[in-house]
Amino acid sequence: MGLLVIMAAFAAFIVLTSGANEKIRNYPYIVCGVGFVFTAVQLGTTIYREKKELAISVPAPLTKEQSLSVIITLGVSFAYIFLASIIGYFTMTFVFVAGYSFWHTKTQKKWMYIAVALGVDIVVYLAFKMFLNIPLPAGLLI
Amino acid sequence: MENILMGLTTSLLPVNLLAVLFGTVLGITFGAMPGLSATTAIAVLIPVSYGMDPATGLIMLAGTYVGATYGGSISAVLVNTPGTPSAAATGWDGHPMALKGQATEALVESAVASFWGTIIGFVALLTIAPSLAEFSLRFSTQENVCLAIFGLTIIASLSKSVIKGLIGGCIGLLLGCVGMDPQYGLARFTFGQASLISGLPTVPTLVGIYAISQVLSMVAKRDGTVNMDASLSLVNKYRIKLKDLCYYPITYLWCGIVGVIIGIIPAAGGSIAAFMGYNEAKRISKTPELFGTGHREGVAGPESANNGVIGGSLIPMMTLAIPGNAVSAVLMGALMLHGLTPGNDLFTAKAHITYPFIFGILTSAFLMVIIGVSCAKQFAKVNRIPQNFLTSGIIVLTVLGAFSCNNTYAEVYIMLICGILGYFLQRMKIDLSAVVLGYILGPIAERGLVRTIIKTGSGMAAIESFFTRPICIVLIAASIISFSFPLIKKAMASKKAAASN
Repeated sequence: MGLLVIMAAFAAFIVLTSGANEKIRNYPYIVCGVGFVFTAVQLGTTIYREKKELAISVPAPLTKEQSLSVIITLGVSFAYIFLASIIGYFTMTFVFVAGYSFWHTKTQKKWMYIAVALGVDIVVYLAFKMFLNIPLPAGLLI
Repeated sequence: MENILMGLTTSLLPVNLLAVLFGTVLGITFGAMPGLSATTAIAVLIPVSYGMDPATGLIMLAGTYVGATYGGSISAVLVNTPGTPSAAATGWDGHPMALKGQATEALVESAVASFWGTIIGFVALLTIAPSLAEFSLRFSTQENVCLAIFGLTIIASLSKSVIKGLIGGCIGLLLGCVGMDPQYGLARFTFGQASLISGLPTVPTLVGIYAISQVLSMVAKRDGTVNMDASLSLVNKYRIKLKDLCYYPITYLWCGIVGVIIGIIPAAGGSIAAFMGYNEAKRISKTPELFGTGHREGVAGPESANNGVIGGSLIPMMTLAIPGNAVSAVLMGALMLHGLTPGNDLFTAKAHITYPFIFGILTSAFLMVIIGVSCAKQFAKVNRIPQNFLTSGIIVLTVLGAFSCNNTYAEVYIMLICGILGYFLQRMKIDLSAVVLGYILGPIAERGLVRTIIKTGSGMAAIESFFTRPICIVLIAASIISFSFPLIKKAMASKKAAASN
């Protein structure tokens, strides 16, 4: 399945390359073409080995819970970045660390999530803003 | 000589010593946690270095690299779970030593061997890199193309599956195609996004591929952390003797050299060096039969080899812009973020930053051995940090790192998308180093190729010109060998297996 996705991606980029200026097409065509061929070879080998019942190196499939964890982490991270640009970096960092950590493992005491989130905010503020003078993202709040 | 003295004195300034101490401690901490590596540690520290003076920031990152490479051995010895992939071979004898009640000796040996390995790598970097950088001035567009091709063919010989390595390389090359083409300045694959016109930004891309994909792996395996509390009781009382500081001088020297050589080879990395170091230590040992039973020399070999990689991997990165491994790829991003471009300039115009950075490795080696010998047990306790706080903390710091590159959120989104790609490829068992090597070498190869064609007038004339230049011929021969070697080896192995059946 993964190999098919990669093949489709190479094919899509071949199509995209055809829309680019003529002068700069050759190199991406070569890269996508070669990548497509290698992926096809790998796919063919995997199918052959599967048919012949030979050992193939396939990652263990993710359980529903594992997939959900990965998807939620990504979703929360995207939301965190999006909201940080509107609301403010420090506010959202506090919400993200406390909320995400709580969702991830609900075994710790509740005050600990708040304390760690506050600690992260303070450390980032002191280290990056006060000590290192790095421009930090700004929003409506801090 | 003037640069060397300047590098030494600058690296010994109090602020730089403080930075290297911070980097080393944080590096050991990251290294001691299975699942986190030197790459993640450096990725997390890039935003911290950004606010510092370039020399100080890079010295801190050098400390992190040294510390994390050693730190991996702590968990390998105590719980037989390497903190970093390069410490896998250390556990073969380190853990049996711990089970025999010699955990402290094993930890001391790993710190001392790491120290000597780092020193050998440092000497190699200090002596080889400036001359190689000067030699690289002779490189014209043709040589750059051949060099990039050689780097790419290495992928084939180093990946577990040749085809998967090549697929990874092609994905990397494709990532390198995003943005303006290097010759005409025309945009490709930008999807109308202004932030992609100058290509995928190096630091967010590498941080995404390595650090975010790692975080996603950790999230998928919720019980990924290793509890070492029970193993801490293995740490026995042991009085360090002067002899402990150089128990196996020949092993340190030889395995350190092996590490340097492996480090110079693009994409080889610490794990290969450690396994080779273990084999070499066994080969030259007077008591090879004791290996695998908890023999001290079995810790010395892999540890000095994987730390020798530090200096070795920085040689091609700093001189030819070819990163030796994942860590040096991220370090290259950090160099670029500080306005430094790999090549001869680093050792001439930017010598005031480069030499203190190189000497940062030396000072870090001294700090690492002191900290390692005295506090290894304390570092094992870092695994008590709950994984939920660890992952959220890493996400916060990497977001900050990607943002601080250009003060835009676009780069943060790019980092996350590259993280998804990295995780997907990791699940597909495609070597991420191959992807990164393709991403870094792709634009170099394309630029060189297009310029050669323009210079020579046609494609055929360009190809001909490759075979009239001695350096190109050597590099082409090396590329053919490195590409065909694993294929021939595989074919011979299957022939042998068929014959034996």
